[in-house]
Amino acid sequence: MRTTRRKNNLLAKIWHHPQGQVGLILAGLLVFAAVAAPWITPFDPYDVTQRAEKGLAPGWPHLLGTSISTGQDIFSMLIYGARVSLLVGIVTGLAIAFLGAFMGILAGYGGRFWDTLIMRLVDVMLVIPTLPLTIVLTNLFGKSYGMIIFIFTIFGWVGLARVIRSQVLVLKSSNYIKAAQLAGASRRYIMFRHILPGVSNLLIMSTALTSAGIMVAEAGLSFLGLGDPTAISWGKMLAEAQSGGALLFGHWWWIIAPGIGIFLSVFAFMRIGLALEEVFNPRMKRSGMLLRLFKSINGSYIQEVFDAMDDRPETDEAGKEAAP
Amino acid sequence: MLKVENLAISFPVKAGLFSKRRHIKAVRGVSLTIQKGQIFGLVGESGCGKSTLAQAVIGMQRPTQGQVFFKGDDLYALSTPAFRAARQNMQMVFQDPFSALNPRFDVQRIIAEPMHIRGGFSGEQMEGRVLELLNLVGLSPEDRHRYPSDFSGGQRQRIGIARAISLHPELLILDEPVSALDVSVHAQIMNLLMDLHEELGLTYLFISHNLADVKDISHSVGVMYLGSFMEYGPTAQVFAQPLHPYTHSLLAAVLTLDQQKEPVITRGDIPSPIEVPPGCSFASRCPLAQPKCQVETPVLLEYRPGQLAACHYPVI
Repeated sequence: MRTTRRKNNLLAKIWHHPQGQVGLILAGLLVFAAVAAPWITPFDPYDVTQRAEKGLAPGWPHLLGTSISTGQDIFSMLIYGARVSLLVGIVTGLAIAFLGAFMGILAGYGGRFWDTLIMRLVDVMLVIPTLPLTIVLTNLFGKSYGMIIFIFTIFGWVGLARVIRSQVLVLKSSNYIKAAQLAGASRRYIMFRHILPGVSNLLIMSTALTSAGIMVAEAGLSFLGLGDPTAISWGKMLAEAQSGGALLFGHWWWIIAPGIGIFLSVFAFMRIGLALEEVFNPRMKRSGMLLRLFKSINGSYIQEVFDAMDDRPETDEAGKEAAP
Repeated sequence: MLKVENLAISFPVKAGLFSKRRHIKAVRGVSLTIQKGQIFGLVGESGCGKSTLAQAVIGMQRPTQGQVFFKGDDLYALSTPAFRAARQNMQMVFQDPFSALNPRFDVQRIIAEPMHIRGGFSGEQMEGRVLELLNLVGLSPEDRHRYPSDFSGGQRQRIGIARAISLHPELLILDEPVSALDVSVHAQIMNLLMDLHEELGLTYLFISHNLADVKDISHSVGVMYLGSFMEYGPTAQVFAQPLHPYTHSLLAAVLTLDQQKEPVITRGDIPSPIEVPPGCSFASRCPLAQPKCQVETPVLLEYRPGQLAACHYPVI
């Protein structure tokens, strides 16, 4: 029967999508690694006392070798790094979805007062340089991932709220909502029965895509030393590899390992997001639009982090594309 | 049943910071009466204010001027609960059958939604009523578990009609219900509407730009041009002996197989509704226009019993 097929869950749909399947498998592996890290790591990644084992090349039992200065097991660090990346990525993605949906719907359906207020707030938020602010806030209130999640959320809802608002405006003028109003539906009814379900696809998709973007941004901040100094994260591993002389000694695996970690987690969530996009909107043209959406959600942030990481002068291109 | 008095609706237009605020005058002083059980046809070109008028009638567009009386009550003076109750007595069928149904709802839920909103119906009652309605509009009982995307335009329009009559409304506003449909489906839906009118004793406000439809279905007709009535009267009479030159040109534009008939071509464009020219609004395109028409605005006058026209020089 059609109904049962329509109502079946979203996971199954992503699973049956070739791109989504890859994403789900990868994400599943990463989640497993993050949750089971204490049991599956061969060594304690926090153990900095293995003076005899410093700077080993990949082999047995240290699969990816050890760090040069402290002798930490790189493979174990890699697995532990998934915890920070997934936690920050997913929690922020969800928080942004909630805040973005709330603000977007309030702006689109809450009347002119809220619309003006929120949209002006969005304009202001968009021009605040987030990276310097992050540095100031983390130094004031302590470097922790809670702080990073907070800052990402505060600045990340802006793009989503805009997208949601425009979708709400489209829905609001549709005839089926008029029909419901004619039947005497309250604003609450229309909000929860028609508008919220109408933007739910957008929310689910953006959560996956935002999470992917936030993971890159988190790695950037950790690399700059703005994350929790006691936690092990891929960004911090990269920073340690750089300061610890990985390049000098040719220990490429120390750099490649966290790089692959970051790549895989972002890749997995991007795949899921792409699959969702196509599941929700099969007729969509795949060129460009998604990239633009992705960038408009968290592009400015990622761009800034990248610009801070290497000394390239800021290219204006990405900024232009991100502007709707 | 429904009485509209001297209704005017205008919308502010965004203009530059220092220029004068201007208004689109969508509806300019329209009055009409529909008796219970009657079908009133509203014809006019696109953009003449038909739909805006309908919006005002169903209480979705507060008029700038004038009143809408529904069963004797001034719709826009009612308290909120009374307004809601009154509005449940009038329902609407929309022009575009694609945007009229929520793509996420199945047919059962779409048709039962008004009952759900009003409340006081058990699940069984709603299901029973939906089956009854599906039968009434010519859909099969199995259709109730399918989704709008599974249906053609005509079928969707049937679903929309079923939803509109689910709460036993007295007045149905049909906003170009067949304009978006194929010719064959078009006729089926027209027949369905006429059958429903007879069976359920409904009152219709039927909006169309298709004269043939209006001629077939309505008892009386109003011809609208640039926000006001040019001619108003019993359908048979208006179609047989139109008074207004505009009605003439509309009728002449209807395609016929009659080779002898010379088509009357109306030249020029409709004037802007922002700056409505003085005098008769049709004067700029009227083949019979006289100098007086450019200056003095004609009012609706009864030239034949029940048949009114706003013209200084009606065709009698």
